[in-house]
Amino acid sequence: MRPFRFSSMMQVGLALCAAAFAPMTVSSAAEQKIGTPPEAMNMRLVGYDDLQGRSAYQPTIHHQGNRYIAYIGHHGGTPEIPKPVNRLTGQAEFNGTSIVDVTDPAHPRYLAHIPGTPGNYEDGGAQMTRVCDGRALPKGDPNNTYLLRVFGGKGHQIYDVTDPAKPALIWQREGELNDTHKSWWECDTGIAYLVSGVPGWRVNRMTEVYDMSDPSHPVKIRDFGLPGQQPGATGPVPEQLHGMISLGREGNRIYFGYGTNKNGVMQIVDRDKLLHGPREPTAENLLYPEVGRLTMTPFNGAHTTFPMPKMPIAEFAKDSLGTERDIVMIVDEQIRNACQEPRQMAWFVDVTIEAHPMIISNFQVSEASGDFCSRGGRFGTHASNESMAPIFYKKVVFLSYFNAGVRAVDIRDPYHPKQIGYFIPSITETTDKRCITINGQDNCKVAIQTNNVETDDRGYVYMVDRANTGMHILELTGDARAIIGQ
Amino acid sequence: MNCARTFALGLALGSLMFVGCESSAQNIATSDAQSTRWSEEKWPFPVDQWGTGLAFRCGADKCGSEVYLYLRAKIGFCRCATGVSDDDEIDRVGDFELIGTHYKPLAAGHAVTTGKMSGRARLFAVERPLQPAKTILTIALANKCDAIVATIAAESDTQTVQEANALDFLRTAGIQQWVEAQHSRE
Repeated sequence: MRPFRFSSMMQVGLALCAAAFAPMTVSSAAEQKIGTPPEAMNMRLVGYDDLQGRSAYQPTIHHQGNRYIAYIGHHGGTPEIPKPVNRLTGQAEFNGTSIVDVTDPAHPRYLAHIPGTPGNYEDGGAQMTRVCDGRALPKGDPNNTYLLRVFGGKGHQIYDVTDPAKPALIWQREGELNDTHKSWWECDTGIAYLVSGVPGWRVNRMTEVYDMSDPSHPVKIRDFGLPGQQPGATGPVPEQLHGMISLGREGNRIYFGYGTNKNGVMQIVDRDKLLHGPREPTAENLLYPEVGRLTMTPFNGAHTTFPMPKMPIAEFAKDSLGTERDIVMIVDEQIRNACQEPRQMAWFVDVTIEAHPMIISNFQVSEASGDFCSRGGRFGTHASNESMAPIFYKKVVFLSYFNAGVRAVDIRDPYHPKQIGYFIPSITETTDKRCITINGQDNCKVAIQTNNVETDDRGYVYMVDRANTGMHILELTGDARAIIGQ
Repeated sequence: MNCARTFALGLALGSLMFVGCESSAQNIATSDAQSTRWSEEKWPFPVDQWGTGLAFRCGADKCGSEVYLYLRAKIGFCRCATGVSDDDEIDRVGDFELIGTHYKPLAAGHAVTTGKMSGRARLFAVERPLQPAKTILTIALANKCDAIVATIAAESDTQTVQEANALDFLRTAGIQQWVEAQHSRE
């Protein structure tokens, strides 16, 4: 055993003094430089918007009348720029929701910014967006369009965005929450699954189920989570919720993902039992709607759980059973910079026999292919597109991969997913630095941090940057494009 | 940044460091005394999703009884806005699974501070297979959105004497520097 000794404050001070007189050194290993062209394969840049230099999270692309409108949620600001200026109004505004007309993807038009809550990075902002037309909702105004968003980590709001340039608040959840995140809204039924932190629950994020069929008057149905998370429970607390994706009334299944970058759990829930079963949050009642559960290695989380039921498997075409499989793609989130944690990636799970889900394959980008651990910022997966429009659904998925940009993956054979394209945008003067601490000193680099990605039914791909670089609109080219029949 | 500005900035930073040095010099004796009571040990637990932490031991001659302190950073695991401010949160972020699978609190927790970080301390009984339950003291602190968790196992008087010993150790400059180095940056 050795006595625990630290360098004295004097030694630390002298080291830092020396560093103060030396220029900040920046590693040159594969670091992006302003002016360097993007890196791409089978993907082409169509259009770009800088999103006013705001750190971007969830984009939702909505076919609204004869237009396509992008609703983009933002993280909080930075210590250097906590309130970027909204160029439309000239006012400094806390990051919230950007609304961009992408009808002509080559010339996106910034329409409006709805401010969010104060706070930097994960604090503040308004990260999440979902959009429904009133004519789809059972009790919506058929002439209107509605935006469901989070209001920082404090609550949920609904805006009338019929005129996307003039959003108007029509509802806000009463009371404050401990946190919010990736909610889901079924437009045809109005049922919404809100990621919330209801005070009294033992986790910051669980599920509130709401009937939002009339967006002006949402009605709460129940709370939901894993047994052990509910108020009054004792013992170990199961990992908190990240988000969910529902197959709606017809599919009758909701896929919940717990654990962002560790302790991942995918829970398969019978929607009918969730909505109509006993609502009191006892352990028994919380377990009642569950029909399957996959507990992952604690090294990885379940950030996104994207269902693809009844995928035909060409290899099994001659088999008497199991020629179609129900597949869920689980995407973990990398949260630490410079590979300082276990690698996060995408996994493909066969849930055909729901009580026994099994991982059948995974997809990841080779670190050596771009020296990504040395580029700066995070390297690993974050999320995927969530659109189920037929142009890409069950054929190609797009993964946001931080400093490795966006990755297009052919998943028609989910047992052997393969990359068919990628795009890593160029950095700009606005791209924020990412730092780690080495021996008490900041080591900072500037790199793309592709945070989220979405697609529309025309085949365009929208990638947004966490490090303030903006939104890039892409399309597939070459062999990759042929897969979608274009 | 031109040379003159670099020099000026460096001088300012250097002065700050000397100021920092001078004000910390008053605490060096205390810090060194606390630091030398504890010896670092090899992390004794299997790797899990939080990785390995730091393990320390203080002998009976210095701490009254043999005490082990296991320190880990749970990155991004804490409530950013409210920190470890109630017993629900310390129950959630605690590192009980290092010791055993089932645990129960023995008393209500209370607020503690270590320099810039604040949090809570609470006593728990942790069940272990084929062994008697172990009383452990958990100290959980918030460092922005990260949870810094110290698990203290001692033979006696964990709540009062050992809590004071542990908190003094967590306040030392070295531990504070280690905590800052663990912080997950955007």
